[in-house]
Amino acid sequence: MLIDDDVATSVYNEIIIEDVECVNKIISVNSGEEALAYLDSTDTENSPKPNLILLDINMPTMDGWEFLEEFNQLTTNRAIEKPIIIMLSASSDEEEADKVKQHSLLKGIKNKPLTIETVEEIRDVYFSNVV
Amino acid sequence: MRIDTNTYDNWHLFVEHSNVPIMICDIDSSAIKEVNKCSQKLFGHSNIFLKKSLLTDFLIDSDIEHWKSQVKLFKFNVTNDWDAQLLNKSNEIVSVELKIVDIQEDKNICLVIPKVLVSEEKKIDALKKKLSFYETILMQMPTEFAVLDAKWHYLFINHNSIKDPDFREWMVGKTDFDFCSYRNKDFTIAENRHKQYEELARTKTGKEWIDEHLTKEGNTKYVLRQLYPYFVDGELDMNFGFGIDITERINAEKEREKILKEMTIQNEELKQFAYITSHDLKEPLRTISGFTSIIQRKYASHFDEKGLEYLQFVVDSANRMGDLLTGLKSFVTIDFDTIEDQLVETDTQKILDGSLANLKLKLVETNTSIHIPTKLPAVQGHPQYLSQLFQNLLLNAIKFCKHDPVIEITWKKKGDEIQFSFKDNGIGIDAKYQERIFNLFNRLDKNSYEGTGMGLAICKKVVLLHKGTMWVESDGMNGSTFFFTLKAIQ
Repeated sequence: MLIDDDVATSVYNEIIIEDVECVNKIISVNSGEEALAYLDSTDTENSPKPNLILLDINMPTMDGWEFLEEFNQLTTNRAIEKPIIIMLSASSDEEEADKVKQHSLLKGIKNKPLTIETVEEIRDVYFSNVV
Repeated sequence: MRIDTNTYDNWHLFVEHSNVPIMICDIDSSAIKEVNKCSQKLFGHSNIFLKKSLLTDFLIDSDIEHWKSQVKLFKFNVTNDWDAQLLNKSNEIVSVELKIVDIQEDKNICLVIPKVLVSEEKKIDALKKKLSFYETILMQMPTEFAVLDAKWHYLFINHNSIKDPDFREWMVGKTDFDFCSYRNKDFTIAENRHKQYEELARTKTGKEWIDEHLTKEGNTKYVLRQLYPYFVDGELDMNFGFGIDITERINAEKEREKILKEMTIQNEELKQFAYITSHDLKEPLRTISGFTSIIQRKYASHFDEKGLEYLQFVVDSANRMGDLLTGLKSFVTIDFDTIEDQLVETDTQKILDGSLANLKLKLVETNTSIHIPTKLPAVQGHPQYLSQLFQNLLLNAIKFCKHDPVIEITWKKKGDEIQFSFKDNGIGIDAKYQERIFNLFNRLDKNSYEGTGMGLAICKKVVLLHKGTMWVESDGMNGSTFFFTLKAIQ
């Protein structure tokens, strides 16, 4: 699942991920709210739950951190399988990196723009057992 | 007795110029034989005139009798001083103490010394003169000045405090409360002052405070008050009060504070603006770069040779703009406030070693040799920014060298500063560009050399924020030497 308010960025990320040829389905949403609505849905047929979320930090209405807060509530209230969540950041800010390390829901932070190498790395580290 | 001619001459001079009147007179006739200059001044007559006169010519009748009786006693070796009154040329009476001195065995002549007595009146006159001298000074002093007694009544007020002489006179013996009621003012000022007075009486030390008055024009006037106690035998006797108009100073300070505040806000906004600009502009730029690289990768076969070339221009420009934005961000994030508090003892040799390690590959690729004759010293600095400075200078020296760069790094102590120099064998900088190269985005040769035009601007900013200076020396041909100063460790 891709969460990013910039459509162009999402389209770009989709192309890169598709090029690595390791995913079944890419769900692309433009805000944290939209993502929460999708994840909250019980319709597993039309809304299959993602294994990986790539989350943009900087979004206008609900930013990446707020999304995590809300999502945390959602998962404690209901038994939803927790996906791997990786943040995508434009700046290589040390403070931000520390915050990511301390967050229980987050697995890591990757720099924008997404590259084929990055996607391959994520695949190898977190999904080596799936193939 | 034989008198040595020289000694005689000396004595003559001494007597002649003495500031005591001295005369030699005939005993019997009282004829004046010799007079010194001071005697001439006393009588107001010339030497010749006096020598033709008798001493008794200048005495009043009662003193002539006195003189005659003294002469008789003198012959029996008895001398007394007595108060006499002389008449000078202007017929004024001069009180003197007359002394007759025996100088000759057969007593034909004698020495007469009239010592001028100063009358009480004259003494009082002189004192009055002195008093008026000091009073004039205090009265005309360019600040307000007043003397108060121990019970806070005014004893003296100068012109600057109260311009109207009648009112000034009236105030003598009055208090600040009298002043307020006379001027129809409320008692706030008087009450405030008396608080200060009481404080002074208690602590026995001078006080200083600032009075605020509203002028007739409605402006606020600030007066710096200073009050000093004067003690006699440990008891407060009187107080000296000064008032200095500091309105202009206070207003200037307020103005300065206001401007400083405005500038701080503006600067903060500017910093924020630059940061956001550099940060937010990157987002669409990333999209441009990303999609152009996808086009290059996936759709290259749809383009002809020209199309591919144009696409490459887009890619290169986007990359360059990315570099510019990164540079701009690092330039604006070097923060004045934070750098000042974070200066620590920093070993510049370690900083340099770190920079050289970072650039290892580049140094090998370009066959650069580095010379450091003396191990670099410690300074007060910000390690992160100093390594940025060193690294930028090294890169700059390597970049602007045609082949085999040689960089010599030296330093010397200058007062409380260390002056560093980075000397290279590069292309050099013409004198007319030596100021300009430190400006933001300034690039002298855009086509031959890559770069953002920010490296040296960042260097200079780092040095300035360390309260140092930075400049370059070059003859425009045989390399350049970059100098900068940093504060030494005390």
